[in-house]
Amino acid sequence: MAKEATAPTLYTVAAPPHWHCGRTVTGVMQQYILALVPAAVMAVVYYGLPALRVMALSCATAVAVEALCCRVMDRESSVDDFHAVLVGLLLAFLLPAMAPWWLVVMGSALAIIIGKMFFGGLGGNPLCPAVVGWAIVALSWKTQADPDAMVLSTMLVNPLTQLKYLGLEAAGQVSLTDMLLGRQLGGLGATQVLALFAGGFYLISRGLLRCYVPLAFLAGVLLAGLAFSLADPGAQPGPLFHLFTGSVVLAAFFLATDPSSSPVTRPGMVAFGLTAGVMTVLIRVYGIYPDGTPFAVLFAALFTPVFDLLRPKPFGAR
Amino acid sequence: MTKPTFSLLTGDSGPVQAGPESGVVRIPLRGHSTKTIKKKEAVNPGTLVAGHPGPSVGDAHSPVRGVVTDINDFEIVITAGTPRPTPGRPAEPGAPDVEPVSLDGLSRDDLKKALKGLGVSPSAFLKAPTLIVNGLNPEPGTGVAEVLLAQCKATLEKGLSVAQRLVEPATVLLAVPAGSSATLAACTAKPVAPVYPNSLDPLVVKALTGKESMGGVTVVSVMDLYGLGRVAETGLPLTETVLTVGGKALVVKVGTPLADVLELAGIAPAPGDRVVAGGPLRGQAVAALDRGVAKGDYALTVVPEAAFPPVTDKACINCGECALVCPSRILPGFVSRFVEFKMFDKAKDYHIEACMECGLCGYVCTARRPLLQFIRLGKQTLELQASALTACRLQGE
Ligand code: SF4
Ligand code: SF4
Repeated sequence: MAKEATAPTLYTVAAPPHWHCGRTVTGVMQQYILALVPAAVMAVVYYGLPALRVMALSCATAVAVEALCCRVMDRESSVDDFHAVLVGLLLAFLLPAMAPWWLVVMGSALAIIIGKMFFGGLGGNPLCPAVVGWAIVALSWKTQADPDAMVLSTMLVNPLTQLKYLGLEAAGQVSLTDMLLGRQLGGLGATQVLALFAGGFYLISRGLLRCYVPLAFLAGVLLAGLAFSLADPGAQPGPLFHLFTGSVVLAAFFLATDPSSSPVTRPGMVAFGLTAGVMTVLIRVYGIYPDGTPFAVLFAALFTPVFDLLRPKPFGAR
Repeated sequence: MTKPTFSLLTGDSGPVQAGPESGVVRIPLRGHSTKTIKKKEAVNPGTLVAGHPGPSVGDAHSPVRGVVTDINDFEIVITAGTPRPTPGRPAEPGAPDVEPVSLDGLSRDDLKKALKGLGVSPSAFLKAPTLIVNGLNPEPGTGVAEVLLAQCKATLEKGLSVAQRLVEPATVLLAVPAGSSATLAACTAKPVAPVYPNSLDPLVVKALTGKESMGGVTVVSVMDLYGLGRVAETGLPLTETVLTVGGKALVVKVGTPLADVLELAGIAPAPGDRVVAGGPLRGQAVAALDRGVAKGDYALTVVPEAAFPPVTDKACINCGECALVCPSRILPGFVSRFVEFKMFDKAKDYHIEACMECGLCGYVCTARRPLLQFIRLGKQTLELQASALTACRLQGE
């Protein structure tokens, strides 16, 4: 009792609500990384240690660069929220397993610096950081960032380049099952289609990922793919080909859904996903790149502020 | 701690029990006069201790026999003690300490005045064509409405008949949790899905009338009706409130220190916990347990410190969870960022005023931002700006 008289008990005073759902940035990022583990394992199965090397290097660089940025910006370090690790891993997934070390370091550092920290950190970035990093290195060092050019010691083929340069018949040698299982050439993790689906659905089932963007994205790809294959069945593959190739599934579940660069309203998310999905197929059909997915994600993100205008009327407004 | 549930059904809270008898009561003041009574004066149950200058806020009365030991802007402290004979009133055994006031036969205006003098705020009972009695528990884990409807029907009906004289409605509706058979005389009961935030007045109105507008509707809670009913029954000033704490329903004297209520309920909050006057989503966390229970408090909730992640000052990551959950259909993430950076006009463009303060945005926020706090700050700043503007205009005329 005497103790109480001298030191009054302190209670926490805070604004309501006093409950919380328990979901935190750190927790979400850890779960996202967990959801990517199956794809990472598959990547090592197909490409061996080089894939592991790229992923480890990319993650380590991202964390180190973010820590450094925080130092330079004179603010509390934000690396403990695991977002940098996620960015590093996603970037690695887009790169070839044989990418030179400096390309990985460049991509990862630029993803963090230009893609994220330049805009004030997580939440401020207008584009998905991993895609920004990838786009810069892919445009600057076309050969080194191109899986077709880098991964020579493999039996895997890239159905998208086959389609682009050799036509539909050549693309047909990779079956849909092979594509699903990752037996296709491409970004080391981006092509692990089944594993990525598993990760994405895991996140959705845990309530950590809203289904609007991924499903709209996939629907956009399917619809556009279907439209083209109906219009020109001799030259265009079916919609599932588009769905299972390149980085479509990775983008649908993990890149386009980057919270900060995607819209927040339901109609906005759906419009955003559809746009990115349709754009993916348009770039593939008309563009110079065999796979246009990351660019489609960047394109759609540019219009996020517009999609955010698609919001319901507030309660009571006429 | 298990994941919180948002069901508004609490199950059996047991019979309504009497609250604790405290040695000291601290009657909270809300703009009441501090000149009504002086220090060291003796008071009896029902003695007026603080009048309110406005016509629409009820006066404050002592719930106990005792002596006024302190008066400040926030509370009047009464130390309970042996009864003293009231000057001019020889103590008759069994006689009430103050003369009961009968509400029968009063005109509407006289009734309002009488109620104010009996500690009931008449502003809750505005004239309207539709009167809705909100019979839903106000928040999860807060079973007070359920208990009152089940156990204090007669008092509620008495209160309702007085409320009808003030509101003069053509229709009286009672919102009850779907599946409940609760009724009140002269009311049409209407079911509402018993899930928070459906208990908020605007959403109850929407569920019952289909309109997203409170125009032409007066909503009163069963807690309000209970207070009115007690006054009508006894003719004595209102000096108690019914609240739920730890799953029990207690009739607590206004001014009873929270510490005593918690002790009676067998709850011992640890340092760092939140002690909340009200429910877990809308209540007010208190700094010290000697604060007195206020009129209208309907719950006392203790939230352990370790149960939930702490609030942070992190940036919004724009995940959109808050926008998806908001019953007012605004974008709390956007609005909170506007307020954070003092862009109040933008906050207004994004309909900050539509927020009904349910607290759900803060509940879901991934970055654990104090969203409702930002929103309240924004609303308050905008109100201040608007009133300053009006004042300037008036001066200019
Ligand atoms: S408190 Fe938050 S969720 Fe609730 S109405 Fe206001 S802005 Fe919307
Ligand atoms: S829930 Fe929190 S972090 Fe997510 S958008 Fe809303 S305010 Fe931002």
